[in-house]
Amino acid sequence: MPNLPPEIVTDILSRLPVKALRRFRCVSKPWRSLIDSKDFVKLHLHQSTKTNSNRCLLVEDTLLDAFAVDLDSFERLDLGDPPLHDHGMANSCNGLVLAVSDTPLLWNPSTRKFKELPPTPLDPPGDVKVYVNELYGFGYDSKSDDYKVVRVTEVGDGPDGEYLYSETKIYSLKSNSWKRVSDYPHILPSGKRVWGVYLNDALHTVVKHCHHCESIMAFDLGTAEHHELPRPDLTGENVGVASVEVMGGYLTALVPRNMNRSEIWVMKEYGVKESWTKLLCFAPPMPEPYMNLTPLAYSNNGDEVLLNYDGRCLPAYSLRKQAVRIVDLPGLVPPFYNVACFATSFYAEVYVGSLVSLDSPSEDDGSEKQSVQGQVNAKKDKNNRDEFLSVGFKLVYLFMTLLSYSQVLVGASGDEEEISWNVSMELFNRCGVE
Amino acid sequence: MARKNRNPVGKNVDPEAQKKKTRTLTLKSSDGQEFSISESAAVLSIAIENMVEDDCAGGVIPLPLVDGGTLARVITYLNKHAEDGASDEEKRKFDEEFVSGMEMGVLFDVVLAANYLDIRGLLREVRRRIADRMKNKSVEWVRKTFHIESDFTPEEEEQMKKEFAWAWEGVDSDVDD
Repeated sequence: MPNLPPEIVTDILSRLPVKALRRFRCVSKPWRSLIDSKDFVKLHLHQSTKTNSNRCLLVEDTLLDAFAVDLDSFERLDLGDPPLHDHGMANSCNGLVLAVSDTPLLWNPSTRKFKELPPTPLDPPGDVKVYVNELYGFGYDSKSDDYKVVRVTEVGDGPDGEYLYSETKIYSLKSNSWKRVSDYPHILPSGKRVWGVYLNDALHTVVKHCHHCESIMAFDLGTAEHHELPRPDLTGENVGVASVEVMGGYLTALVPRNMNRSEIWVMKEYGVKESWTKLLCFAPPMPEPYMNLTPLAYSNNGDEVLLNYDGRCLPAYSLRKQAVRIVDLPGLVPPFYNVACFATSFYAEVYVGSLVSLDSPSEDDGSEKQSVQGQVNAKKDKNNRDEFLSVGFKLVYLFMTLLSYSQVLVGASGDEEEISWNVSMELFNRCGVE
Repeated sequence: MARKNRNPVGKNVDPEAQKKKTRTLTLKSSDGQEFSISESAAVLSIAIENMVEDDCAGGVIPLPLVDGGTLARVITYLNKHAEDGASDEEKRKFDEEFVSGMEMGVLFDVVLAANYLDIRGLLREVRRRIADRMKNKSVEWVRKTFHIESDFTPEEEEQMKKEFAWAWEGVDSDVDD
């Protein structure tokens, strides 16, 4: 076997998943230095983003357990013992995931390292009477090459907690410390887990001024300033952007039209109003007063868009066929419907498998120790429960979905009738297999 | 949709492109084998294109770093990618099959040739394929394949293995390739 020049070897290594790279650090000292180097970590991340590979879907299911699947194969990944004991997953950036609780943490599911953020009280703590609401966002500031967590806390006063101001603090991974910046000048969105979604050095959020009158705001992680982004040009009355998300490197907007359909728009060129384009129109199985629809990822050939429909199921929408199939994730416990049709929901976030480190250069190796310790202390207590519950509920759930999708799709145009049949058969086959 | 306007009949045919299709070049491998190839296929290699443009080709192009077997494979690839009317989907399928049957040693030869001849698509495809074959392999397999001797002490190696034991789970047994 011939010897390969170093640039080819580096390129080949940059195409490997993190698990293999963890192992191949052991090949030799030069390989270890290469794989550990900052440049290689960036090259690996760049390669994964460019080729749409190493993408994983992290799911916090209805029992609040976290698991992940590879987005190409939908095979389950071994996360070890995720450190999310009393944490709720928020957003991810460059392979790091923010998980929120009283002590938020950053976690790299691929390297299994995590780091608890230092606590930061409200500022000044004595003044505060009532705490109202709190949301986080997380992203990368390329200008300072730093990862930053933003916490916005609505602070109130008086017996009924009347709103006073929104304290905003930024955590920098490099300095491992929090810093207060100008207060957030708007009310926090309700029913959201994440304050802002990350794209292009900024966190994006929708600010409601009044009914169907809103702005898309971007918070620059470098300057800590807010600026407005153009909205899509929407025709029709009482139509607005309900929320924004990031998918495949693009900002997307959820536009609910009425109880029977919602649209997803995509901003193809960042900051350019004219580039807003309608991507898809989604009809829920049953009319919904408010539809929570989150685009997660494009399929590798770009034809399908994976959606999170209200934490109830994962529809894959084919842009070519304009049809929906439901992706069945191994290990996902379906929602529990009670008599009132109320369902607890799951949360899903796409992350890229990366080597990005959580070490702050300003401290010694403390974080590494902490992570290893965390892995040892964590307990395994869930897999059996998952297996047991999922089998029983899955069949009922699939049948319900089958019925409701048929109802929606049958009865429009002839094309759609055919689609509904395909969808139904697919679900039906899946029931049969299981 | 994009395929409709692929070959506008009659009009707009670049006479230079037509000439390249009919002109043939001869490539000579390190072990003296000669291969005929249309110029339009050969110039998918940036290195060959530069030689042709600089007019230093003079009929036969010697490629002293590529052996006959490897060159034959590379030419198969070039011919397919220069083929009229081959859709992107067809080429993608061809690439997939082209590299799937190759042993690791052959992949190494082809990646070196693609690097030397500067054939971007082939280089990308083969590097991806090598990574794909490597990802579940053992450390020992990698050392053998890449001719690397460990400079770690057994204790250091054991320590690293202990720290990331999960990365050693599900590794292929060391059969060839």
